[in-house]
Amino acid sequence: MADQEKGAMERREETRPAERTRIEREYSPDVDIYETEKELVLVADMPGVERQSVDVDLSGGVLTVTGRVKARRLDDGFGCIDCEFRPGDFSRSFALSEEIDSSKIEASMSRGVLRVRLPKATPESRKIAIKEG
Amino acid sequence: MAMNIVPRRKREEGGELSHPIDLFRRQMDRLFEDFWGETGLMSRFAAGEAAFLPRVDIAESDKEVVVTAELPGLSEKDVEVSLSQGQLVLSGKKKSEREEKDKSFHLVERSYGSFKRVVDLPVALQEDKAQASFKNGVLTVKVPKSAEAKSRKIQIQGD
Repeated sequence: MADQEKGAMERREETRPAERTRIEREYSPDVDIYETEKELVLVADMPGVERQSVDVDLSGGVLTVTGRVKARRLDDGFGCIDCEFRPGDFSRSFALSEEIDSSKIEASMSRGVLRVRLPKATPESRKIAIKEG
Repeated sequence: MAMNIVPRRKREEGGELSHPIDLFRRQMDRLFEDFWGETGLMSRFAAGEAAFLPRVDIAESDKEVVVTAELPGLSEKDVEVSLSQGQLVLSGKKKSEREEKDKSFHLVERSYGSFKRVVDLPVALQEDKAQASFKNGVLTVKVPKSAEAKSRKIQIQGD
């Protein structure tokens, strides 16, 4: 059972087309995404990440969330007895299908959980005024 | 404890040294308890809760043992830590945020529910000197090793 248990908890490593220049691992955080009438909300578990080390970026319709983790223990002289995870950064990208008002994106970080609110563009702001001609 | 897998033998009077089979029985009981017990995976599955089990690292240096657990979204108030006889028990509950009805979920990967993890620490420790801290969703418990457990370098004498 121990093996199964570990399997269920295993972190997914994020794979990218380009190699990283840092030696630390990069993990894909567990994410919930839900939609309300007005906004899209993304919630990501990033344990060990401080508020200052989070980066949220939207470009070309792709939202990327990144969290850097300081190597938090395992200083010199420490050895693993039983390690189910190793410190590593978190990163994940999503293609957004809804029209998002990128000027109003808000992100907050609390207790290792990142929450990004992506307000939908209002119909008014999308509408193009037609002039009389 | 909910059940014992290996039948309990009547203990003879006068207190004996623990028999290896007693040790084996304890380990088996714990294994089954983790799965079938009150807060085990099975009961949480039956209660419709997604199984949240924090990941745990155990590391050691010459002087101490450090246990780190990933508990994103939890605070020190949501977690109980106890340590006795070489067993560290982490328990608590990660609350679900999914009650609101006007939400439609596109992706659900984060898990919720009660959890309990029992971690066996393999060396003799000064359990009364354990320290726990919580930061950014990571719980760290540090326990200094007892004097006997600290590693010593042994000089090898030549001829």
